[in-house]
Amino acid sequence: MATREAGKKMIMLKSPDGMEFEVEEAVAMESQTIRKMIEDDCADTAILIPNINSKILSRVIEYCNKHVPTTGATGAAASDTVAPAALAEDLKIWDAEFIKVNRATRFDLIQAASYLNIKGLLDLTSQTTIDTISDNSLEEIRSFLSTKNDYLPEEEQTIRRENQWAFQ
Amino acid sequence: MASEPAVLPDDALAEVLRRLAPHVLAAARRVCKAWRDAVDARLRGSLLSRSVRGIFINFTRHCFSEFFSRPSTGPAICGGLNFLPCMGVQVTDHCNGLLLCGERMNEDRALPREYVVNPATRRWARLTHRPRPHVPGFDQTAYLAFDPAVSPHYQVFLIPRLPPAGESDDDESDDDEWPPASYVMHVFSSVTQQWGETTFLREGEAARIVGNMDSDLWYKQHRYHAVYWQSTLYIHCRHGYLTRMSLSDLTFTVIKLPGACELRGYPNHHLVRYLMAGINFSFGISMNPSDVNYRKWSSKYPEDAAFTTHANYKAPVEEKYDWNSDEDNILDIEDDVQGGYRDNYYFLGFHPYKEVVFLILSGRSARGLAYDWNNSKFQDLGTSCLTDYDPFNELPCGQTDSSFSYTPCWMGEFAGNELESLLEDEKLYRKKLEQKSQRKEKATFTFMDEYDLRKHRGHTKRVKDSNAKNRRRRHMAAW
Repeated sequence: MATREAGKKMIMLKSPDGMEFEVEEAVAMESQTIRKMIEDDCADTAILIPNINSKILSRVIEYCNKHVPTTGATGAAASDTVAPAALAEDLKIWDAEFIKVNRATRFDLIQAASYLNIKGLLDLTSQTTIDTISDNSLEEIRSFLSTKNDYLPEEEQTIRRENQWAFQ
Repeated sequence: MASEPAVLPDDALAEVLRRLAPHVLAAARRVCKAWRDAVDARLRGSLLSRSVRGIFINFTRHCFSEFFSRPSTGPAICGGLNFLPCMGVQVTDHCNGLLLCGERMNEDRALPREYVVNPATRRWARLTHRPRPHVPGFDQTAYLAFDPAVSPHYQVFLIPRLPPAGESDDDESDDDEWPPASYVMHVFSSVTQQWGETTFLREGEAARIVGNMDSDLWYKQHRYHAVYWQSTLYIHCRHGYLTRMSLSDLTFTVIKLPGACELRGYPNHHLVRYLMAGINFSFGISMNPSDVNYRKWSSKYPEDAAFTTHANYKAPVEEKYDWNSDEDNILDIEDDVQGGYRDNYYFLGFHPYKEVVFLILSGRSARGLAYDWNNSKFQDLGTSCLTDYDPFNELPCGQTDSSFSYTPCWMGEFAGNELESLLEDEKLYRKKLEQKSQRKEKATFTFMDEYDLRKHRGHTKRVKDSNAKNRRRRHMAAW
């Protein structure tokens, strides 16, 4: 395991397309999946992250870097000088900027967040989808998310009746 | 990966859908098969709302239950239950969005029938008549057991209860232990649509000997409060003990409650589930006109006998509070807050997921209140006065027998028998008409009768299709 500074463990994350990312252990542990691997001592050399390409992985690491609790030697100064409320506000703006991506990237991010079990990122990335589902008609939802209505007429009838309350 | 059409894999899809409001999630099943399957396979539990949408209240000396609720943004809940084919019902139990209701008025003076109802989706099932109790003289109380996260099916348990002291003539039975070492009870299963018998074996000691069993006369005889959680039914009975019935291995244990004697005399003991860390069960008491008393006991530490008095609350003052129950709309409480609080508090129930207690303040104008335990704040929920309240009735307005905090469950699947029941009703109705006409010796099939019959048929037809599929499913579905 590489050690760059005293007291700061570094972890190597590998994407399937061969890119390697060196990140602080604390940052990597934002992901509950990686945290578990580290705690179970399965993370001796490099951790291969399957299904997540380097482009997405680098964005995930970017998110974790920003959201890691600022308690370390460098973070202490920041949290002393900046009020927590302002910090939270700052994060919110950063998040809003972060999520300005196309749908395919957003879905990849959701998938990555789901696999790596990063709650904050999952909340952030799925919010647009949730809003879409909550506020639109079925047809609109389908076209937004490019899903097809694959129900047979009979099944459609059944499921419509099960949701009869929605029309009363 | 990014160049492919964006489709979420199952895990990620489930994670996104899990974040939807329960009724939105239910409607999202219609988008496509993958979504329906995701909901049915792993998100059924998320169809149960965690917000209390209203409280079903049985007011003293009223036949039918009232639904006390506030306006909300979600789909309307048909709290009047007027979609049921009967004059009216009284709610006798609630479990995760399903109600157990008993008919209170019956044209034909037949045995009153019981229903299991989902008020959110307006689905219902009429139960077959209860079997007779095993031991003559022992009455039975019914409880619902339903957990959408586990199965779309429900069960109804008939728990035998001891006759009140002095009413039993049989002296021999006085030496028996209660509850017995093997507790036989009737269980209705929605899978078979029939009553069956189940025997629960006792682990540990009985509560007491029958003859020494004293009961709390104040306690409502027709009601033992119960909670169903994680395949276990917890029943609090008026003899001051708790029965923990494990439905998975058919055993039960008797838990003697610490300080049970203290609780005596309070008709409003309540048992509740908290899903919060460390707190599993609580009892609440609310009686005194001037203060509200609340004690809690954790089933995690049954040995820890101490009840802690959690708060002692003086009458509220006029102030607007910011507590709200799950961002429902809050009624404006400018009017009549001051000067109204002079009568009794009645306990309505707990919020099943929060440290919030619902109370009703009786008096000339009864009002519903929510009290948040964590920040010690009251919120006025508005007037809960009955619309047909009779001021000449000597009872104070708002006196209640029992009440149920209702959390909707938006599960589309339901083992209902609407069609069968309506057909049965139609058959009975025809028979009645025939008998009537025979009695009058000549055909007096009036226009009115003909009209009624047609109307009835129409109603039957309308639900026919929706029920055919349920029967099909019932054949396929396993508990």
